[in-house]
Amino acid sequence: MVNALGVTTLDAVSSLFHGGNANVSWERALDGLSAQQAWQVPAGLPHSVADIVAHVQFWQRYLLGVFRGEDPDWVESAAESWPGGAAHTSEEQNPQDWEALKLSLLRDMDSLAAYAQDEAFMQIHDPHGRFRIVPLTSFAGHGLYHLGQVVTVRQLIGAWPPPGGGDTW
Amino acid sequence: MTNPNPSQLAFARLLPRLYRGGQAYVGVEASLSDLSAEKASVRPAGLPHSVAELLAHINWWLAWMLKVVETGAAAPYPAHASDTWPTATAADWEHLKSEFYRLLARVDTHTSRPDLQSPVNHDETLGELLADFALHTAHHFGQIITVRQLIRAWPPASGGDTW
Repeated sequence: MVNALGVTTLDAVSSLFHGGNANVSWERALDGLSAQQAWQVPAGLPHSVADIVAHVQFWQRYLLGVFRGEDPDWVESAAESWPGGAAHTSEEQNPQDWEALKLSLLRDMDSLAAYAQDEAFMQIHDPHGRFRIVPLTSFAGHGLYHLGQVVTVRQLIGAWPPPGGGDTW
Repeated sequence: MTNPNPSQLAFARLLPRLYRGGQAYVGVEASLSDLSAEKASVRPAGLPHSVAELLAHINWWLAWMLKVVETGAAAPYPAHASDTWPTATAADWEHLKSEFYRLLARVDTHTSRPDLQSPVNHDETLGELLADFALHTAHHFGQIITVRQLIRAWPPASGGDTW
């Protein structure tokens, strides 16, 4: 049964945050990856899995800040939205950091997915006058774009598929 | 038929942009531009697919989705994931790009339909199916950029997505 706002559309947008129906899920894509593997930058590429996750999480936190009325600052340059990278030298890579980063990504993903299913919230315009469904779907798309890169980086460092299998059959 | 509400209309307006990137991620035209057929067919060491093979896979699923959307009939899923990865060589590159843009033009004719809430395929709605495959496309375009970085064919002359 679909109500006036289109609950099935909201369910669909909500599901996209976790990977949607056509991709491997974020949870599975990050499974079984050690902290050492997570911080490994493959030769020829600019980012590790952890860098990519930190970037996606940066924008998730930004959108949650907007939704919570915190008015977060927009970044002056793209580099500011990549908080991983050079900050993690080999001495600084510790398993707790990776686990904390992964948990924060999945936690905020759940929060955004819950907003997408909140029918009353979705009827309110954001401060830019847009329906919430627009930034929510765009940010889910941004996440899945980088999810594809997580798979590629894991393939390059010999850490794919994850223990539960990838998205093949 | 239930009239679409303004939020649904906003979603419908967003769908064509989701298929093209340009805001949340690098636009598809920039991603495919300034890449020779020879480079497009290079499979980097350690990776299973070239840019051409990734695009052939994207096209395969877009054509599958459009068949479902345009006939209204449920379609069986392929028996094996490997069935969705057609062979693609340098000779196919120009055709693959043209085919991709033709498929996008067909997708455009469906994103503004008033029946995005209608059931289609197995247990999905039209809007859900269109959004799922927009983001399947985005997922693999992210990989296209990574492959281009590895073969030193990124960014294109028009620039990447940094500022």
